[in-house]
Amino acid sequence: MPRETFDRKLQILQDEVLILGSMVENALTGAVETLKQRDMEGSRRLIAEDRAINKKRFAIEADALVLIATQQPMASDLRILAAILDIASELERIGDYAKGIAKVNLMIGEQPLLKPLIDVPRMAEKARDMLHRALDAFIRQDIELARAIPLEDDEVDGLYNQVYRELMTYVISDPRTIDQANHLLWVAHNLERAADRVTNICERVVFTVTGKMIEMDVENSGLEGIG
Amino acid sequence: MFRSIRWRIAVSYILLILVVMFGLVVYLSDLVRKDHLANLRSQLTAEAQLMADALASAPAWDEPDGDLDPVAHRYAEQLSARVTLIGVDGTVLGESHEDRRQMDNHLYRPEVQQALATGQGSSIRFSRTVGYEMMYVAVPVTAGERVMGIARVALPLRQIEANVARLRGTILVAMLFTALGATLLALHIAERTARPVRRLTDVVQRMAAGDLSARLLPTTRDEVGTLTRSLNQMADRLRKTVNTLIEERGRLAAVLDNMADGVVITDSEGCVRLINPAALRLLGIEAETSLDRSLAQVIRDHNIIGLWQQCFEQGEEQVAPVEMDRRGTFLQVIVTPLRDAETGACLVILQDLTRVRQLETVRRDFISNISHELRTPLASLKALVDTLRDGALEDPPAAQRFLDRMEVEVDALTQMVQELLELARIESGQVPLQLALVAVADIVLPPVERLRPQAERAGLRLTIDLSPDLPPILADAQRMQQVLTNLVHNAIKFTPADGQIRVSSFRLRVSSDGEVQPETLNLKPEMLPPGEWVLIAVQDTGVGIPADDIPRIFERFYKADRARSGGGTGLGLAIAKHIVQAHGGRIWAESPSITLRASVEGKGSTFYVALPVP
Repeated sequence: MPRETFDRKLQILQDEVLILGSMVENALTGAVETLKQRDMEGSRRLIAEDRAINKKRFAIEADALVLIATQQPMASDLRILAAILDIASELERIGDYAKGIAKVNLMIGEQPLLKPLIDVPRMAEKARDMLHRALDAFIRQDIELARAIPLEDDEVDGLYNQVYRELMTYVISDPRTIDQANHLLWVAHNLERAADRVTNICERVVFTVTGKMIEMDVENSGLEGIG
Repeated sequence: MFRSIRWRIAVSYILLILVVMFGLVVYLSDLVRKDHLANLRSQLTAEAQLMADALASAPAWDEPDGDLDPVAHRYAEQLSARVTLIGVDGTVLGESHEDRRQMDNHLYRPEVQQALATGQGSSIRFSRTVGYEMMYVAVPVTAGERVMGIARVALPLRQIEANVARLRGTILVAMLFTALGATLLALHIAERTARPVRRLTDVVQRMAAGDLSARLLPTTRDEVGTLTRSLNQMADRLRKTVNTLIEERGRLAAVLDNMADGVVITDSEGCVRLINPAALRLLGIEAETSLDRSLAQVIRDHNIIGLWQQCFEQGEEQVAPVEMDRRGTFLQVIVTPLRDAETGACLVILQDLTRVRQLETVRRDFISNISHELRTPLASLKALVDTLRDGALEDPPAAQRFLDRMEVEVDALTQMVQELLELARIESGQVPLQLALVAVADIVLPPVERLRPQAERAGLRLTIDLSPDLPPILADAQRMQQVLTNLVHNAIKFTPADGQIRVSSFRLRVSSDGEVQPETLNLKPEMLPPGEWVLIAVQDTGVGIPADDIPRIFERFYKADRARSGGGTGLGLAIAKHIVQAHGGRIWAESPSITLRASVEGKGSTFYVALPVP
């Protein structure tokens, strides 16, 4: 197969990763939005759509493996293919977090929320924004951007701590809220984990470009360290 | 160098001339030589004949050892030639230039044989006797029928060869001059032929470089002239076509640039080939990061990419609404295969439905709100009537109480219907404003004073702060009082006890570049067009308005906090908005963003009314 065809196939695979990314982005904010709106139907739909995300991930994986097996790519091409494999699995995991949030909505069921969701949607928006730009960095091979995004994880962690403390005040004042507070904490935790996975994607982008794997976890403080 | 027409023409001319000249020289010198020889031969023949006739009677011919030397010498002097007299047997009898006794038998000399056979003979050959080429002419000497001997006259050819050489030299020099002249002429002709072609080339090169106004005046009537004229015609046609195309492209580009719908064209590999500003705006991307990239990289939305893939695979138009919640926009996406152009190219049209969706939401909410608003008093009326019918009529004091409550409900319904009607009339412009110059105080003070007792009952401090430099404004005082009543009434309703309500007014200037004077006011320049304004602000320390609700509170029946809004019809702000807009003014609200945290709550909200200074 001539070089041109290989490049084209690689390009298509990268596009597929972006499409998967878009699906996951929508799932993430969609899950929080349906929770906020108490839209059970929407949550059920999101849980069903997670299957499409998983399928897409496996399709990407299979195509990438075929390309590796038949083309025996070298150096940077191989690193890009490795990154595609890695990023696809990270995206699938983020999709699982979104599915988890949608499940929480169903678990909370018809009871009203303890409080209107303010910080949780912000976390989701932040995590989605980081994910979007991390994929930008991957496509443009922009290591500056890939190095900058993990620093923003602090913001998500901060929001997570805030949600945690807030939910604790509810629990302390009325122990009957423990159940729902726990569920909402789960949601926040999933979002915090999603942002951490974005950091992994960024590390992978830096590796793709430089060939060096670096740990970009900024120092964990407080609660998210236990996740 | 020899690839150019000029040199090809010149060189072939020169070669032709040289060949012709050379041939001519060879031919001419040969001709001259032959001519000379022929002349010489006939001259010598005539002389030999004369001599033979004169010598026919000489007695020495018959003597075995006759001596004709003296005769030969005499003739030789007269003829300036060598004379040889030969006997019939070949013996030399007389010789003018040599010693005849040394000479061998001449019978078998070619000219002698020829003369004996035909009556005259000639020969050119190298004479060993004298040492150079000679022409010999011999005739028989006859007496009657009897051949007495042979008379031979010979001349050296040196003279002739010299003549021929001189002539050849002359011809050569002439030929050189001619060849030189011909070469110059050839160069000139070649130059003349090649120059228009070169000029044409220049012009065509300029045209190729894009200068379609380049023209060449035809200077000749030959083929080159025709070519020049044809070229000019072609350039004219080309320029016209190009101009038409440029114009058309400009029009299309203007349409693409200014249309509200986003347009993206992709090629068969899914790369973006064209994207218009509306599409860039709707997708929130930059042109330079979009062109020649794959659609997936540019649009980054799996729904739209999915539509494009379907269109690409099925070759059929795909239409679907897509919500891009990252940017909060609703798009109607239409993907059409471009059959006329390259195969596999697709046209993606993005129609912005955000506004339509918002209006739809407003309408849906309106219907659900109005049903709700009507149902509550109607349900209560129904309950009251049922109670009366079930026996309350028998208890006159209770019946009286019920009737009073029914009246309250009916009044509320009536008020709502009236306000709805009024809103509809204001909206449709059927209520003419009674515009007059009024002081701002006349608009602000009456409603505030009217509501002061109510505020005091609710434990609120109500203050008024009017700037001293307020100009009079052109307004319908009664209507504007209605607006102020509504705003202050809302403030009272949504502010808990011990709160404060402040009604203030001051002048405001917005310059054409969006600067606001005074700057203390945190005002977004896009809210107010440039000009002089009077701003009336109603500020409270109440519950505030959630940021999501701020754009919608002026909609009919929209209630940010249903639990607290209590008795109002939900139409007050909608009516206020329409009245202010009818005055050419603006109305908006601000509230510090509200979160659950208690510290932020209670910062209240501020409603602004801006009216233009006439």
